[in-house]
This record gives sequence, structure tokens and C-alpha cells, in this order.
Amino acid sequence: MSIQAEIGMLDHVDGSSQFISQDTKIICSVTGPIEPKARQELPTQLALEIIVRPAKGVATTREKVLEDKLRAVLTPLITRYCYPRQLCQITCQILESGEDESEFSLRELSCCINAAFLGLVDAGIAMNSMCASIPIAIVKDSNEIIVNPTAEQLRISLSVHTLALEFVDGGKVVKNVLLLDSNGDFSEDQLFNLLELGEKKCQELVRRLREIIQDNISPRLVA
Amino acid sequence: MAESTALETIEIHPINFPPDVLARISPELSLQRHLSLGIRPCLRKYEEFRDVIIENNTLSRYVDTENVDAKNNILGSNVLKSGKTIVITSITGGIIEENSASIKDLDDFGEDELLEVTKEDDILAEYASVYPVVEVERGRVGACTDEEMTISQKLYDSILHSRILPKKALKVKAGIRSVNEDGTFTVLYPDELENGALNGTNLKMKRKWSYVLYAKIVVLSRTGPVFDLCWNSLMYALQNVKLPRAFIDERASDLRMTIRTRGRSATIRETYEIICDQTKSLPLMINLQNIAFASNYGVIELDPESQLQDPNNAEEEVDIDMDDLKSVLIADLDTEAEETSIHTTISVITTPAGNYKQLTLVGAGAKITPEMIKRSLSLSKVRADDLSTRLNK
Repeated sequence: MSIQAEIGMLDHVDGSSQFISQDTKIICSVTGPIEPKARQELPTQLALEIIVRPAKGVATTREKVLEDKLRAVLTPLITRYCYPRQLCQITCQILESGEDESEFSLRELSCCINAAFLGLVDAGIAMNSMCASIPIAIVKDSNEIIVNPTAEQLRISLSVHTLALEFVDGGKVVKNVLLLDSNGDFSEDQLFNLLELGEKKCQELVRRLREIIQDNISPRLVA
Repeated sequence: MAESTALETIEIHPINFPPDVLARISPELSLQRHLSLGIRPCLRKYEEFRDVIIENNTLSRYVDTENVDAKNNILGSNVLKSGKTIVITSITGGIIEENSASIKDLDDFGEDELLEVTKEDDILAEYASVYPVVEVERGRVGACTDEEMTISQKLYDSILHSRILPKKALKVKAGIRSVNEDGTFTVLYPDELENGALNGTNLKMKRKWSYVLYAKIVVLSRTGPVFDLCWNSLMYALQNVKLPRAFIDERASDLRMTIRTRGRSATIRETYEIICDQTKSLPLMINLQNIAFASNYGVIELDPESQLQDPNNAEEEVDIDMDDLKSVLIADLDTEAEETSIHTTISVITTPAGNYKQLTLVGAGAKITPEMIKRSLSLSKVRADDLSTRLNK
């Protein structure tokens, strides 16, 4: 799975990242910890404001669902009790969706998760663990499990899945399934097969993400 | 001297709260105390579901097949009661003109065929969805909440991806209204005439229409997560939808006008109305084998420190290994305590036969093990099987 990612391209925010996988391109900005509005403030924890902006048009309920799922993934990742009564704004702007937006959202979701993770690292927000997310499709006829499917492969898919795993110990140990969002028509066997394959692919991706972070940080370190 | 020591000692009185007060102050602790007794705050067992009471088609215009209520525009309905929560689904509809028909208007059939070819490998393009609006009543007015928006959108996505509603089923088989010699109107439908006197070529109807379905889902007395209740209610309601027959006027079936503006001439059609039949209706033909039912689960670790001690052997000190926490699977989440304290959730939509249509795992709390997933999948199948039999009662 070939991906490209960049960290810290935006100057006016605390952290930023760009994540490109095939035709999907996301730019993410993280601002925080900052002063929250009174209604957002949580007495003991960091509040999160998550915004997803679509590639075209204004945000609709479709983006609300993406925000909801992104929040489910990011909330356990961040060490929220480190920043009581504070706010962190995470904005993901989809530059290219790389899929038919009227039918699918899995490519955008998994790229948003990866982009937001890199953005949070760049902003220096305390995190509990690492995460990596991949889109998966099972295509008709061959029943083949395809990791990171293209828009054409999605069109002939029987079921589509977004998998996000939580990693600890330098990306070697899977701690938990942060999100598995499956839609379509699938069996129990297919589900466990794709979880198994997805674990391997997520592990590869998390290694790649670590490299990207390392390349970004090491020049800044004083020898 | 004795007096001063008495002043220095601090007596600590444990504060006691009645269970219902504790549940408000510390839902987490209250939940753990209940779980240590093997029950939940709602007094159900770990894997016990709430019973579901349903009422089908009581609000629809086709309740009385003999005497159709023309003022009622509900095409199918369901009222679902689960615990204290009531979900009311009413399905209404509209008719839209299909865009693809306009290509045919150009008399360029080659392009139409091309469209068919490109559509061939897009599986989802053959299916439609329902446009749901979920309203969770909370006793206040204002803009819709995030929860309402996400549930509505998830319902839309899940129906589309479950392939329950083929686009074919929503096509309008329009009839035609003609004036008889004595001035009365008769409406002829192409599929109702046996001898085929009025077939497609006679009608020359080049325009195509299809129905769109809207679902209004009202949730009353919300006590916990409601996505699965809304989904199940929508499934029952969809199964009893009847689509009204529609017709157009004979005069308008193929009417062209040439207009001329600034030297350019163009042919336009006269706009005409497609009218719904007051009484006649057809059942909506959905893919029955794809009808699936939803259930939800939570996974929570039992906190050994919050366990209620057995008063008979309160002295017994049990060595607690904090690294080896026991997790339990909780079915059909309800009550505020469970909703706020359980962060790991599993949501499943499955057919009784075990074809899974949707699965959402969120692992923000306790670890999700493969055993937990397997257990929740098998429980969902049993639940879906039970719920699917309710329709025939």
C-alpha cells in the first residue's frame, strides 16, 4: 500500500499534515490546546472539535457521520486528562475524495483518520498510542479481499470496510480495534479473514507512518 | 489530655446514598455495582434483550383496503415499542422524473445503451434508498442534533448498501386517463389490460418517473442508543408500503410544441401533471431476502474495586490481578448509565440467515476480542430471526 504523507506544511496552526493514498487526498490541521467556548468545556478532559469538509459543496449529514466516526477513533487515542478545560480543533479538508461520494465514504474516512493522527503528532498533543487505518473491499465473483481499493474496484464490491487499529510498543503490538465499519453483504468467515489481513496491512502502514514522523523530526533534533 | 486526643482524631463516616441517587451522582460506579451482582441497572441479565412490541400499518392510508383515506399521505407505517422507548415510522412518497429519460428524448438511443453499459458494473447504482428524517423528542425545539443527523445518514447508507430497495421497484408504471364519449373519465393501466390493447408503443410515453420514499421517524422517551430501534422500525414499515398508482392525461402523452426565440427554434413539451390514483395501489416489491434486523452490544471491563462484597465472608481478602480484567458483553444497551460508561460498542445488522449487512465496532474502552465479536454475531442472528417472525403476527 503506497501512501504519501507530509507533516507541518501549514504555518498558522499548531499541527498539520497531508495524506495521499491513490486518488484520495486529505489535508488536516490541528489547533490546540486552546481556550474552549463555555459550552464545549469539559471539567476534567480535553474537548475535541472535529470538522470534516467535503471536496465539493458544503458539509452535509454525510460529513457529520464522518466526523462522528473520526471522533470515535481519536477520542481514545489522545491523553485527554492532560488538558482539562481545554479544546483541540481538528479540521480535515478533503481535497480529492477518490471515490463516488454518493455511494461510499470509506476511502475518505480512513485517510482522514491517518491524516488527523499525523496532525496530532505534529501539534505535540499527548497521545496514548498510535493508530493506522485502511479501507478494504470484497469484490464480487472472486470474493477477493482488496486492501486500499480503487474507485473502480469499489464499484464492483459486495462489501466495503474501514478498519482502524490501535498500536502500542513502537507499532508492534495491536492493542485494540478502534473502528471497524462494514457495509454491504458479508459472512462471518469473510469478516475474520479481512480482520487478519487488515491487521498485517495496518502494521505495515503504522511502520510507514513512524518513518514519516521520524524523517520529519530528526532534522530538528540537535545532535 | 484525654480531651485533646479526642479532638485530634478524625472520624470518617462512610456516606450512604440510596441506589437511585448513586446512579445520578456516579453512573459508572452504580453500573459496576449492578454488574457485580450479575444484573444491569435496568434489571436485565447481561445478554438479555428488551422485548419489542410492534404495530404495523395502523397509520397508513391503506389501513382499510375497501375505503382508502385520500387525505392521509402515509404509504406505510410502523410503531415500535421497546422498553420505555417508542419509535413511530411513517413513510411518505413523491414522484420524480428520471434524468436518464431525457437522453432518450433526444432520440439518440446509442447514448442510452452506452449508459446501460457503464452502469453494468456499478452494483449499487441499481439500488435506491429511503430518505429518512429522525427526530428524537427531548421536549425542546431547535435545530436537529448531531445524533439525529448521524442516525438519519446511517439509515440512508445502510439501506443503500443492504440492497433492499431495487430502483426497478420504484419505477412508475403510469396509466393514462382518457375521456369517454359520454364525458366520463376512465383510467387505463398498461399492466391491467389483459389483451394488451394499450401497450407501451400505443402509449408513446417517453418520459419516465420513479417514486421516492421519505421516512419520518419520531423517537419518544429516548432512554439509550436508538439507531437499532429506528432501523428495525423502518424495516417493518418498508415491508408494508403500498405505492399509489399514477396516471397522466391522454392528451399529454405525446405533446410537442415548437417555439421560436430570437430566431432559434426548439421543441419543448407541454408541462403536464402526473396524478396519483385515489384508491388503487401496488405493494412495494423489496428484496425480502435482504431484510435485516439490527441489534447493539457493549463490552465493559468489570472493575474489581467496585465489586459488592458478600456480607457473609466480608473478611476474605481476594488477591486482585489488575492486569487480568474480566470483560463482559452487554446486549441491547439502555439507560443513561450504560450509554455513558460503556465506550466499546458493537452494532450489527444481519438477516436471519446470517448474511451480515452492517457491522460497526468502536473500541474506545474495553478490548474487543474475536470471541466477543463471534458471540455478538451469533446473538444478532437469533435476535434477527425472532424479530423477523413478528411481522406475520
